[in-house]
Amino acid sequence: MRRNKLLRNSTEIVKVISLLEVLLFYPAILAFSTNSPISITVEPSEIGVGEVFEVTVFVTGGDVGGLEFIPVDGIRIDPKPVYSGSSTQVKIIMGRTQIINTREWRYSGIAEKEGEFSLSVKVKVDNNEYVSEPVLIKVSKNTSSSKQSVPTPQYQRRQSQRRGFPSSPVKPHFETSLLDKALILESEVTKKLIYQGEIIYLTLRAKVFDSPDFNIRTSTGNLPDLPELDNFFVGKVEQFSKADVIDNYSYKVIELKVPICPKGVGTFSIPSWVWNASLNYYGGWGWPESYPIQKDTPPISIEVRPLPTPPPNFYGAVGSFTITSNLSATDVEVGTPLYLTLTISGEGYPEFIKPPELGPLEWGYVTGPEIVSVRSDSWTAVEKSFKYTISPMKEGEFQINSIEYSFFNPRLGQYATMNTPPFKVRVKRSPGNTVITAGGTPKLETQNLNVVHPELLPLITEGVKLRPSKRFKGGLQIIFFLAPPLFSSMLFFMGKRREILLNNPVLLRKKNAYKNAIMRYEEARKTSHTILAVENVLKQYIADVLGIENPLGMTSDEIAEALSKAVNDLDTVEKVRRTLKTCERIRYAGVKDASQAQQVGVENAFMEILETLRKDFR
Amino acid sequence: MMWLFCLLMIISGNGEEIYQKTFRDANEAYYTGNFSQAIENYLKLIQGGLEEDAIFYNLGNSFYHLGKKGFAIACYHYALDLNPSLHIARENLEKVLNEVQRKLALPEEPSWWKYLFVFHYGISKLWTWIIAAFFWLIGWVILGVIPWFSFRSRKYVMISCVVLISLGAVFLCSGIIKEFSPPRAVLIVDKANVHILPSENSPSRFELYEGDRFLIEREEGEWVLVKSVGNEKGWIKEKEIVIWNRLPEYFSKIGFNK
Repeated sequence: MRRNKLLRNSTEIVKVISLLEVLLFYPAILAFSTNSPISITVEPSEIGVGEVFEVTVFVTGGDVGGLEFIPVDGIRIDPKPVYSGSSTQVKIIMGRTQIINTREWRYSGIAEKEGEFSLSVKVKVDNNEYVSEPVLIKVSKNTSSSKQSVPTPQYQRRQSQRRGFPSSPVKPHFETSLLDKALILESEVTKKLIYQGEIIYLTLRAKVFDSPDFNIRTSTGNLPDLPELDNFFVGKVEQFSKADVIDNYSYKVIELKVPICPKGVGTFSIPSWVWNASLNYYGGWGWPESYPIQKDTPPISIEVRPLPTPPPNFYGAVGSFTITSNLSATDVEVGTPLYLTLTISGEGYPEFIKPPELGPLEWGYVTGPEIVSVRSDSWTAVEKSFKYTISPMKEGEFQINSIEYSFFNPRLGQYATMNTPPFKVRVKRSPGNTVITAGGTPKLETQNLNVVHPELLPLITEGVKLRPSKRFKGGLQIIFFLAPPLFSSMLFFMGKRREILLNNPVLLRKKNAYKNAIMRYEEARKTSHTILAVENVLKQYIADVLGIENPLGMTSDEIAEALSKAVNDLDTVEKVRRTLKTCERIRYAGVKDASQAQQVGVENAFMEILETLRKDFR
Repeated sequence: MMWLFCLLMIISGNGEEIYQKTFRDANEAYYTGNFSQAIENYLKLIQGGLEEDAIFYNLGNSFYHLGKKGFAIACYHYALDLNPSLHIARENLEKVLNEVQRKLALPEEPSWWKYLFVFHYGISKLWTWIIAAFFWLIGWVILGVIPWFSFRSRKYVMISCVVLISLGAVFLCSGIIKEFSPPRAVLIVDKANVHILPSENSPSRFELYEGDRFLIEREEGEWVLVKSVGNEKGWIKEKEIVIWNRLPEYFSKIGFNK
């Protein structure tokens, strides 16, 4: 009994131990399995001061709460993650189903100081707060470069593959905010309140990511067109390239410098510079991907003021100029031309540089000016030369007076006047020329002398049709344009009528009844007796007109009755009845016995009936 | 003088020969530097009913060398109206415009208008009417004969008709616009005041210089209302301008006063 009792107790102890074992060890196993819910990695783990790194945090657990970095002096981590994702796993551990959530965050950080730093995070998992194992980051002094290169797709791909999180092949692997930073557009002008005719410079700047892994392409492959500058004269566009660093990203800067000059006075707008481009890069699977980018610059408003009241020697030049003059000779004979060249150079819109008036000379005839050279590639260094030809007509000592030339200087906001030096000229008598006389107009004198034969513009002398032109009157044009629709309508209705006839056999039968009757009669007379031919053809004709089927089986009374419903002329109906009855009678008596007179009588009656009915039915 | 020239042509019955001789004389006078004589001969041809781009172009050259830049501009413009592909006239026009006091642009049509009638600018008025008439006639004739086509092909014929008639209508509009566009003129005197009202006593609104081009909005007696670039408007005396759309009539009525 006692042994049994002892045995029973020991069995109970085993049960208790087993129970204790289960109660103690099972939570321990579970606890072990969730012992380290946070893992943290840093890439790269060795960096220079000012360089960026990426921290990746994985947290595993049922209910994963907020994440917080333990602050470290010398390391700055952007609290906003650059990536956040999660995955769910279902596990069966010792017969129990467990749902495990894994969250992933990626943060961007920057090293501010040299040294070795430990990074760790605090996370709440299933209402318990955990602190991650610290991860070491070594920051060395970096003298090579303080700028951050754009994280390459390959780098990010390596990161993802190592973690076992393949990126989506659909979604761009880069954050949209980052992709949007790939192109920055700017536009500016040197001045927004300007004078009429003043030159300003429009600068259009495009900043694109400078990385071999990114490529921005426009639809044409070239830089987009300039904004529409219809209200401005546009000079030579200059293009510059340089590098820049913005927010620690390196950019290639393309700058277009466009000299512009307003065409009028008022407020003008420079529209947006629009880029419709695509950013090409390598996606998560290593395949090239494209991200559309549409950006534009804000429009710029420019106010153009009119010029103040101009001085008398202002010819339209606006800018900053100098004038030089040159005379080909100072000692000449009468009739030998002198050439006075004025060169205006400086900064301004070249088309506004007009030649000054030399004015008439008492001793010589002035022609021109003729533009002899223009240098206008760059509006900052414009040069225009004008040549005046002076044909001396009198002997003596004379002077070409100083020429005043005013221009508007927009920087000063006022007019400036330049003067050329005066030239003294000595004109000697020409021994061989006796035509020069006093009196008459200088123009006629020069023509007679033929001193200056101006370069004639070429004429058209060949291939000219010398016939008086015939002018079209307005009415004729109206008729010409009204006639085709009328003619077309006529043709159309004719065509439609034809189509209706073709598609309506009854109508077609009626329309062709007379023609067919004549034709049938001619045919029938060749093969059968006149009486039979008349009877059949007349019945057929009436049937065609009235739309009756199988008329040959009908009697003369039936035909006459049908006819009387369609025709008011009872005499004709009666004539038809009698003719058909006569034919029937002769047919019953035997057509061979029909006399010639009977045949002629029937035939005449038939023809008469046919004509009468034709008129009636028409 | 002119009636004698016309009478001579009628009597001789061989107008073309006289035209040829007058044209040759004009060209010779031009090359010998007698521009007034050249102008007189070219005007005889114009007054005789000739409307050739070459005559107006040559006349423009003669006016240019005579220093009448306003007339030269009008002649080049008329030559270009007759034949928009006469590049030499365009070049000379540009040359003269560069030499006038101000290269004042003509008031332009709105941008939407330019885009709508983009085809319209390079075709002369006569050719615009011819093209319009061609498309219009062919389109309507084919539309008229549609019932003769099979049902299967009618759809395509109909589309063709619509396209042709539409083209005809577009060119018809272009022709009407060219026919009835506001007259364009150029100043032929050295300088003219543009008045606020059609009166000498009215204050001057702005000034125009020889060779400046503008549109004519209204004509009242000896005054015309002009619209310059920038929509500046005012009244100017008719004798100070020449409307190049009516250049043959102008030369027939007024001639050229040296």
